[in-house]
Amino acid sequence: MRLVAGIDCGSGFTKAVLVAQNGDMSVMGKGKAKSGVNMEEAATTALEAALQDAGLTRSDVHYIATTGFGRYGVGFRDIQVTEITSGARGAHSLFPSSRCVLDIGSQSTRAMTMNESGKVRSFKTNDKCAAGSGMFIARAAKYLEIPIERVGECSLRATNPQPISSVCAVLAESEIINHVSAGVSVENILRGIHDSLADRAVGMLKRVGRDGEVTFIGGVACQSGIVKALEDKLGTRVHVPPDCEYVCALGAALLGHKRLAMKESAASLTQVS
Amino acid sequence: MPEVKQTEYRGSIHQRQKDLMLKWYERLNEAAETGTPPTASLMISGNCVELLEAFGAVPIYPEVNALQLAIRHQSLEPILAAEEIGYAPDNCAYVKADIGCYLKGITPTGGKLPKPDLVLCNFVGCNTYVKWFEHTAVLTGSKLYVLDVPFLCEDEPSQAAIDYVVRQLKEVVTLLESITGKKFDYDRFTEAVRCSAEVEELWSQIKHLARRTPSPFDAYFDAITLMGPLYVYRATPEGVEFFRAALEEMWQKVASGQGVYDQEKFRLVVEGPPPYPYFRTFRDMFAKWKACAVASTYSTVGGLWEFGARHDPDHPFESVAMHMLSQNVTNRNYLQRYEQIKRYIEEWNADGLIIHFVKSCRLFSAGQGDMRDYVTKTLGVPTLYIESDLEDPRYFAEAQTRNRIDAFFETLEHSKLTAKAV
Repeated sequence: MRLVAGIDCGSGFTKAVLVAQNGDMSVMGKGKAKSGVNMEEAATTALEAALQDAGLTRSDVHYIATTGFGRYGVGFRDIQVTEITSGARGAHSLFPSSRCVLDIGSQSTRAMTMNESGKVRSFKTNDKCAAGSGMFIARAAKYLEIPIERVGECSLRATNPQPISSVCAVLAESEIINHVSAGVSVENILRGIHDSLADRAVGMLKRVGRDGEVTFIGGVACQSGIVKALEDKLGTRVHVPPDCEYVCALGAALLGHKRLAMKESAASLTQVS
Repeated sequence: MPEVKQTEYRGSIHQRQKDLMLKWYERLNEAAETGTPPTASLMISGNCVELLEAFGAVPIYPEVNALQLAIRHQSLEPILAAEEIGYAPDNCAYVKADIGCYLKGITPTGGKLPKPDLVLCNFVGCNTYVKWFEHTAVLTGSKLYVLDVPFLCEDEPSQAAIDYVVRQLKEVVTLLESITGKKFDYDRFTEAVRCSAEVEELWSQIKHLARRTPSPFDAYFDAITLMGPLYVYRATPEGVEFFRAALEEMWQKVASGQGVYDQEKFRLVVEGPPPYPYFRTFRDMFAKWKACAVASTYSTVGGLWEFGARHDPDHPFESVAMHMLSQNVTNRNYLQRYEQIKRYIEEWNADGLIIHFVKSCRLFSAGQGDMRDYVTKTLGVPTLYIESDLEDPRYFAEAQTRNRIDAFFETLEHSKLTAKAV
């Protein structure tokens, strides 16, 4: 069995996935840790959690591929890839017919189109504004005193969503305060936030050239409210994998397998010659 | 992939460039302390430095001062000084850096910069310059002359436009005569134009060497180094000597098969100026992928010569006017810039285009979204769009920029492999 770890060092959380090749590729375990200021430490914690989940030890891991903003901060990595490449690869392995991926994480929103083998054809990312990202929802949830895990289902109960029109995550809080002062329910405010995020995401998907099914990944995809908002605006069903926040780590592990195979093949050729 | 942390040019021309630029600043310092030689502020693009040379006057380029400050990580202080007196965050950061330098007495080398004897606003394409130089003239108490250069809407300037600019150039001559107390030396002017033509020929030959594989130099990052002498010394024998040496050095690199990297992996065209406050960091992001720029639009801001245009000593005034009207990238229309990029991609054999959107310079950057669509959809060439600023360090997000660049090359690497396999 050849075991590869994919570690996604995101700005909020670090996620690790262990993928083994026994003929097919199979996920053996996964783990998560808060990213904090020390990426290497977070990566180690997430990897250890994944190993515990799989009942394996560090010596069983043959290769480590990192991805995410902190990918260069992990000294024990073998390779690093961007979360754009790894997200597309991970999503493709789960929904092979989908040609478009939306990834909303803690601080970033990304949209990618890909070809039939999961290779990125085009991508867009936010890089000057975090209003469409998970951190925005986290701040709003904190203000509204709703645990982040409950935001999705709360939003689904909305009967009269209130729009959040600000393009700035910080100023949007003022709008939320206004709504609260006006007696708007928490459910309607949350759905307004989800609608606002979905509007931004749809714009990004259009710019990247969406065609057909969309796979939605990243921590924000866990929230059923935004998935519903997105489906309403796109007029189509959106694929959300059960472990949506681990997809980039999964993609990194799959790419790691590929790189490891190439490396071994090159080594065997050298040996023959 | 082994990481390339730093890329250093493997020749001596960069040191010669530093010496020449230092010499220029020494002359400006001398002018500040003694009142001679006379000086005039100019915009880089479409400048008429040959006229100054005829009077032995030295050009001051606020853009060069601004970028020199930025590259030395000193641009924020003058920018903040300008904002303190009311310049808005959205104003051009070059303007704010320049105004801030006057306010705080800051210079890139620590020497003095003179108050220009003439603020000569040769704005081409950049109408911000009109206000910029108006403010400079007020701050310094210098004389201001605004050259009105019609924007090039058609393929070529009309005879009326050429005559219109020539008439203004002759007014500048009269003005310079009164400022310097010297009679206009037509022979010296013609000689300056001849030097410019020779420098343009040499520079053009250097740029054409980048068609080779591997390219002997990076036609964006290394070209920027060579652009300093191009602006300051174009109309002088020192300029001719410098570019002769540069061409010779490039040929030596070609002869020995030496490229920028041990193995050139990607060939790029780059549109837009670099983020000067993070110049090295930005360069290393490309060096890591062994990606070499083989052509760039930014290196044609001072003059677009690789397609054959030259100053002409037989028609000096007309050729200076032509240079201002049509032989620099900023005064040309957008369809001409599309064509320029298309030729670079095809004739310089490039794999992709990098567009660096500069927040400070809306005039250069407006329309780059359409440009990206044209290059991606019409030409079918991969394009990366990055946003930051050329002068203001507050607009550069290193992690996000690196992420986009890495993702672009990961995609490009795959498409090159696929193309090889086919």
